[in-house]
Order: sequence, then structure tokens, then C-alpha cells
Amino acid sequence: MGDELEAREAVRDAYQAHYRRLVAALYALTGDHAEAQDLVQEAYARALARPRQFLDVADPEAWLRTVAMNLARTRWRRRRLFDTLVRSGRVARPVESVPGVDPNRVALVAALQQLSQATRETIVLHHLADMSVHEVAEALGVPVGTVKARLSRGRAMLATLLSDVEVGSPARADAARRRPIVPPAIRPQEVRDAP
Amino acid sequence: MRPELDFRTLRTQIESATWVPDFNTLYRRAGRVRMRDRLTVLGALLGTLGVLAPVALAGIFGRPAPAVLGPNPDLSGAYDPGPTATPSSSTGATAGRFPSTITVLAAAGDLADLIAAVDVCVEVPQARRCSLQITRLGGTERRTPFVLDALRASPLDKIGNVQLTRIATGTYMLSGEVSAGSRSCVQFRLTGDTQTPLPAQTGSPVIGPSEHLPLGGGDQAVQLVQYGDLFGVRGIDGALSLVGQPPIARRTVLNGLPAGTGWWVAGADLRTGAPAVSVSVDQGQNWTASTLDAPPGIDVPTVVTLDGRNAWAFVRYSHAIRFFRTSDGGAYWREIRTPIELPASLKTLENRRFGALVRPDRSLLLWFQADTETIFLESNDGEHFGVVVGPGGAIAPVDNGYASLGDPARVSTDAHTWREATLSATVLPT
Repeated sequence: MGDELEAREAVRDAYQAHYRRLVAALYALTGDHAEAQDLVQEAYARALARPRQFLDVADPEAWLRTVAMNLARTRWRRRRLFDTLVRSGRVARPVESVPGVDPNRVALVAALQQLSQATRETIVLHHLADMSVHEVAEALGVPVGTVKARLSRGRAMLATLLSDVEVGSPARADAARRRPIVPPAIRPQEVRDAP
Repeated sequence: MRPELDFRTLRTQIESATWVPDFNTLYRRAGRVRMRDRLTVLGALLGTLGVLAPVALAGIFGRPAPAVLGPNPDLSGAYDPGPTATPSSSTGATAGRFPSTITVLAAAGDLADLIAAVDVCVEVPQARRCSLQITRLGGTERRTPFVLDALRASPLDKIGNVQLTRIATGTYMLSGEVSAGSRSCVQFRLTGDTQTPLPAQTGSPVIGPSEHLPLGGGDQAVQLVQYGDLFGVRGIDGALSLVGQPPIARRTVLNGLPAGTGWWVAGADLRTGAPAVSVSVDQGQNWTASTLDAPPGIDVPTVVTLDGRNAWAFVRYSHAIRFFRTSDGGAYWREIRTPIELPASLKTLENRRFGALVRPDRSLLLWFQADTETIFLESNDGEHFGVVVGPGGAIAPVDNGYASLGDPARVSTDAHTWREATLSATVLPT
């Protein structure tokens, strides 16, 4: 019983410390702010449901992020299956703006959604979760070189995608004012990693 | 990094735009998570059970049936009993593809009107089916047995220690130990018209009496269960009566004694457990009891007498026989020190049937059932025994003579000369 209370307090502390940061990472990963919050809250709920397991965790933020990302992957797979069966395989959804977030940042999130899942996760973990290349490699279970390659390639792709937005749209301000923001000039194709 | 790839600003803006809900709202969500976890575990258990249960049920109920339920198909073919009347030979008849055997287990009655309890069995491998029947032994041949399927509840039951006693004119009591359990008895009366086939008559179970009846000098004593109370049998109608009990334990009444010799009961001393003999000459009203000079805990002695005054009691050990003699109707017993020399084929006497009788000429005859044969020992002086040729089977005293229950069955009036007795027809068990 004492462990459970202690674990609840630990979850509460982690909630106050990491909730926003995790939502930011998950938003960049999913492109949906509401879903990102739902995923992060589900991760915290699981921590509350298994308090003793959470007490043994060395890095609560990493544990919660991993849980949330796994949930996101599961949902994405389910959605892809559903869309494959019902909507001819169109999984990508338009990125909606978030009040208080610069339209350029929303465009960045939208561009992230055009990357492959692996590349997107790598970029999110490194740039939004502030994890080093080695930590990302360990978290994703891939070599460091692969992480570096994904980061380099991902950034290049993002730059290209965002340049296309600038060139293709009449004005960046006009594009930013559109609600919801769906980058119209970005071709609806998924950029995949080289094998 | 290019300005449009400013992830730090993106994170700052999103964190600023994210509202943190009350932490307490997570508790309800955690409850749902727990419930999902339990349902997952439950589903996994049910799934495992759903996979393993049919396997377990198949393992339990799918095993081959015990052999007792029928013939083993690996050993033989189907069993077709066929209600065929058998000839009077003891072996050789067949039921379907299986041979049948006829074993004479007991005999009773007058030599001229002798009946026998025979076990008719069909030797189905691992499912020997038998029927205990009462039929005629010697004399006028019958075409059907008097009693069918006696004592057994199932044709597969084993039966042992069968006794057949005439308790009144035309009335008999049949008893035996079924499936190594307690002794059960049936009583039946034979009709005068012995040529008329009887229906499937199994006799009626014998129930102990509840009252004292006046008994005569020729009336017998019977036991309904092994080592149980004695009951008097009124000779005129076969009714049972309460009688006084002999003061010994493990009471075993002697059957087939000549009329007027009294009631002789072998057993064990109540205090020491040594072999003892009790005698009553007034139908159980008074008993005398004598303890033999033998250690306690051994078999009930085998007692024989011809006239009720001279009697012999044989005490069986595992490898030897000690015997005692009385000349005063059982009041005093004296051990005969002359050892009985047993043949080499009788290395042990344990688990072997053993019996004794006094011939009308007062010589003694002992019989032992060995592995493959019955061995007979004779004594003309009541002290020295020697091996002799016998009738071939265990000997049962009957009225006016003796019956040998071997193959073939034989009868004799003096236990010296024997003649074959024809066994009347029996019916194969169904």
C-alpha cells in the first residue's frame, strides 16, 4: 500500500514536470494536438494503473514517452488497416492548427507527417525530446549511423517540403491564415527511407 | 539549422499552448486501464482453457474402455454368447468363438438325489463371463438347471467359497463370497417334478430370523455370513430360528455332519485367539468350548467327526499340519504327535484349499489342492498318514456319502470307491 501511494506521488510529479513536453513530442509525431494529449494521458493512466512498475523506472519521462509512442504506433497501424479497408489506404490526415502556435511551426509539423514513421520518430526524439544520437539509437534499437542518416535525410526532406510550401503558395502569410492548415503544395506522397 | 526547422520554438509554443488537465481525472482512466488488463488476462485464460480443455477431455474420456466392459478387440473377435445348452462335459463347449468351462463348486443332498452348484463360464479374454447354476449331479438327468445366475450381480463378478447346504427336505441354501466381499446367501426350494424345466429361478435372499423356534434333534445350524451368528434351521419347513451362540470367536459351523452328532463349531478362543472348538448337543441351548494347544492367529481348525464323540481337529500352518483328537465329544483334545509327512509338491500350504473327512470305517482322508492336482493323504489308524490316489477333486460330504468336485465329478458312499456322476445340462451365461 505504501508503495502504491509513493508511486502515485511519483506519477503526479512526473505529470507536472513532463506532461507539456511529452504532448509537444507526440504532437510533432502525430500532427494532432488532441490525439497527442490523449496519448500522453493514456500513458500516465497506465503508470497509475501499474504503480509498482512505474516505481522501478529509472527515467520516468522516457518511460512515459515510450508508452505514448507505442500507443501512437498501435493506433496508426489500426488506422492504416481501417483506411486500407475503407478509404483506399489514405492514412494521412490534415494537420490542424493549435491556438498560440505559429503557422510556420504548424507547417513544420505538417511536413513532418510527410516523412516516414522511422524518420519522423528519429527527428522528434532528437529535436523535440532533446535526446542525443546515442540515446535515440538505443531507444529505437538501431545503429547510431542509421540515426544520423535519418536525421540528415529527414532535415533535408523537411527543408525541401517547406521550400515547396514557400514557392508554391502565393504568400506565407496567406497560407498561415488558412484554417485548417493543409499544405496544398505538398504532394500527397510518403517519403520513405532508403533501405 | 534553417529557421523553418526551428524545433525548439515549435516545442516552446506547443508547451505554452497545452493546457494541463487536473491530475485526478487520470484516476478514472487508470481504473479503465486496470479493467482492460484484467479482461486481457481473463481472455488469455479462457483462450488457453478453450485450447487445453478439449485436449484434457479427450485425454480423460477418450481413453480405451477398461477391459472389464468387454472383450479386448486386440486379442479376439466379437463375443456372441448364443443361448446354447451345453453337454455335460466340463470343457470343450464353445460360445461363439470362445470355449466354456464348467466347474463344480459344491454339492448337497442325498446321493440318489444330488444337486451341485456349478459355475459355467465363457472364457472371453479379459472378460470372463460366468453364471452360477444349480443342476443335478448324477441320478436322473435334467435338461435345464434348477437355478440360474445365482448370487452374482454381474456375470463378470468373481465368486469364491461357495457352499451348498440342504437345510430341509427339498430346501437348500446357497452361499458364496462375491467379488471377495461378504458372504451372501440365497435359499431355494426344488419342485417335485424335476422333469419340468424351471423358469429363471434365482432363489430368494436369506434374511436372519427374529424369533426362537422349537428345534428338533436332527435340525441343522447355518451361518448367513462368514464368522457370523448361527441360526437353527427347522427341518420340516426350513424356517430359521435364533439360537444360543458358541462362546468362541471366528465361528465357523461344520456342515455335512451326520444327523445326531450335534452342532460343531470351529473358531478361536475369545481371550487368547488360539484355535478352539465348541459343541452343542441341544441345538444351541448349551455350548462346551475347548481351546487347542496351538498359537493364536492361525486358521480356524478343520474339524471332522462321524459319530459326535470321536473327532479330529486339524490346524494348518504354512508348511505343516498339526492335529488333535477327542474321544469325548469335544470336551478334551489331545494332540497326535506323529507328524504328517507332506509330499514335495506341497511346499507350502498357504492359500491352498484343505479338507478332511472321516470315512464310515473310521479312517481319515485329507485332501489338499496343489497347483495342478489334488493330493490325498489317508490314515487308517488315525495317526499315520500316507499319500493315496483320490477321486481327483475336493470332497464334499453329502447325505449318505461323498461327492468329489473334480473333473469329472464323482460320488461315493464310503469315500473308498468312486464312480463318475453325470452333470445335467447347464446354460451358457448371457
